[in-house]
Order: sequence, then structure tokens, then C-alpha cells
Amino acid sequence: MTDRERYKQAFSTLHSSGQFTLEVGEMEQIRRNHRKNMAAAAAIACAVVIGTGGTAYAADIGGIQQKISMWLHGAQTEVNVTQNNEDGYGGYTFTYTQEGETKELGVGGVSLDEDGNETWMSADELAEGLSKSADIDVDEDGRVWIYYYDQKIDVTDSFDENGVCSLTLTHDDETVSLEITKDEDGGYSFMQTSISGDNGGSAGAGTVEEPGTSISATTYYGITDGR
Amino acid sequence: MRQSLHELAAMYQDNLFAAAFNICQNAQDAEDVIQDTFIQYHTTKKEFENEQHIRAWLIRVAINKAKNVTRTFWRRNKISIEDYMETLTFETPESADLFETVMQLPEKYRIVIHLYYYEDYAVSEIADILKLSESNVKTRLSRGRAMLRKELEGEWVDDR
Repeated sequence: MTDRERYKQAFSTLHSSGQFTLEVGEMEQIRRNHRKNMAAAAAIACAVVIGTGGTAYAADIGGIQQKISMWLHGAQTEVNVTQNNEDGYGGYTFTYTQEGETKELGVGGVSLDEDGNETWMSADELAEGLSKSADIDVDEDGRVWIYYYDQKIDVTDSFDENGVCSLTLTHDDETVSLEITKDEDGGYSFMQTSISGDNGGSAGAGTVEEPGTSISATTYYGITDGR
Repeated sequence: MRQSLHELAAMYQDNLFAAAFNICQNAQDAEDVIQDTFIQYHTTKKEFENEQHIRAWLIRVAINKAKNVTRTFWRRNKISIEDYMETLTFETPESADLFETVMQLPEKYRIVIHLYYYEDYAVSEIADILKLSESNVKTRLSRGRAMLRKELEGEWVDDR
């Protein structure tokens, strides 16, 4: 018996259980669930420290730093980017100041190409994705606000009896639809779907539907700011 | 060309399972990889040249997805490879020894050995699937064989 025959004999004991589905609707559902899980997992991996140490704090972080200008909470914002690990596996810390308060944002994400390869996203890609993504916030009075680029919209009274609010937003030549869901625990999550223009991003427990374009990579973003 | 998913599943599900298991060493993870691989085939708009092109693409995707599984910190790994081996039926004790020894090889040697001896791929084809240089594949194959020869002694004669 040759080595090849020995090898095949040894590994011929492995068999798939066949417990997978080839039904299109079920596969689509699995794909959607997988995306939500990825977004949720990325969000869990993110952590934020809100501090008031001012600019000196960012200078103390160390590591490789760069500055990026991006949209955050409805404002064009300059963020200091610190790479958490040299290989990018640990994501990035975005430090920025808004309304006199210095905040930190932990971000990370992966992109998948059509061969199933995962690649950790760069700070620029993450910033671009987050800039294109809407953002949700609840203020001290319990009002629910949606931010999209420079737009700020109060959607508090727009939820239906199922706790869902749908709206369409446009910035330049890009139009997205948002479906915001009020969760059982009082939080909010949303799904952003690109209707025209480039791909979008997602925030919080949100996720992104693939746009109707020829972009082959699918991206996931997770972000939480502790509010 | 495109083939139907049912056709592909009938032809390749065990090959994909073996390739995925070879990397993630967990049956449930390998099953998930098969599902994800077929979903990827369903969603890709890629046109294939022939059946062999589809087969190689499916194996490449399954390998990449299995590698992704091993990199995730929340991977399940509920059953150890040792426990899983007890559920398998081997034709001979030598087959069990070979299986166990291969599973103990470093991943980078394991998958090259698997593609060569189980899938019958040539070095150039393995290089294409794994996106490695041919010399890199040859080196891994050679080191993997040397480890098998050392561990298995007479049970692995290195006849190529």
C-alpha cells in the first residue's frame, strides 16, 4: 500500500453529517444572521473610555498614531487614531473632542473577499465606513436622535406599534434606508441599507445589507460609545 | 459554467468536510464551514471554467473559512480532537495512528499534506489554492513528510 492509499484510507472515515441546507431562503437567512452576529461580536469587542484629560491624554497613548477627519455624531470631527497592535488585529482607538469633552472610541472590523478571506480593516476604511453609517443616540430627555453626516433627526415619535421606525436619508448622491428597532431592553438597533451610491456602514447593534452594486467585499462594523 | 448546489453537495461535501476538519479539528465547525462555503457559492457571481475550477474554488473557500474559524476567539471547540477520534471508525490501527499523527502536525504542513495525498493535487495546484509559491509548498510538503516518517516509522515510507 502506498502512502497516498494509506492516507486516503485513514481520512475516509471523515464524513459530513449532511446537516446543511441548500434551500435559497434558508441560506439567505443564515447569511443575514451571520452578519448580525459578526456585527454584534465586533461591537462587544469594542470598548470606550470617556475621559476629560484633554489633548495631553491622546499624546500619552503611545503606539502608531495618525489623524483622520470623519463624520461622528452629526459633526465633521478630527480624530486621533492609535493602532492597538502593530498587526492591526486589536483594532484602533479613536480619540476625539466634541462639545468640550474628550472621548475614546474602540473600533475594529473585518472585510471578507469572495474567496472567504478575512482581512482586518485599516483605520481609514473603518473611518470611512463609520462616516457613511448613520448613528443613533438617546439624549437626557429620552429623545431618540438619528445622525447621518450633518443631519440630525428626532425620531422619538416615529415608531410604530411594533417598535419599528423606517426612514430614508440622502447625502449628496447617496441614499440609504434605515430600519430602527426598539429592543426589549430599551436599547435601539438599526439596519442600514444602501439604495444608491456607495456601500454604507453600521453602528451599534446595527448591520449592513449588501448594496446593489458590484462591490464584492462585505464589510461589518461594530461600534459602541457607552451612552 | 455553473453547477447546481445539490450536484456540488453530492460530489464534494465529504471533501469539504475533510479539508475543513483538517484545519479546525472540530466536526461542528467543519459542518458550519460547509454551509458557509455553499452559501458563498450561491452568492458569488463568479463564472467557472470547468468542474475542476469549481472544485478548487470550493476547497479554497472552505480552507479560508476554516482558518477564519480558528482565528476567532469565540470558537466553540466543544469536543476535543481526542474525544472526536473515539467516535470514528478506522479500518486498521495504522489508519488511526496516521490520522492522529497528521492531526498533530502544524496546520501549515497538515493542509498541504492533505491536498496532496487526499485530494491528489499537484504542487502547482496546491500553490494556486493556498496562494503560496510552489517552492513554499514543496518545503511544507517535505517537512510534513519528514515529520510523518519520523513519527510513524515503518507505517510511512515516503514513496511520494
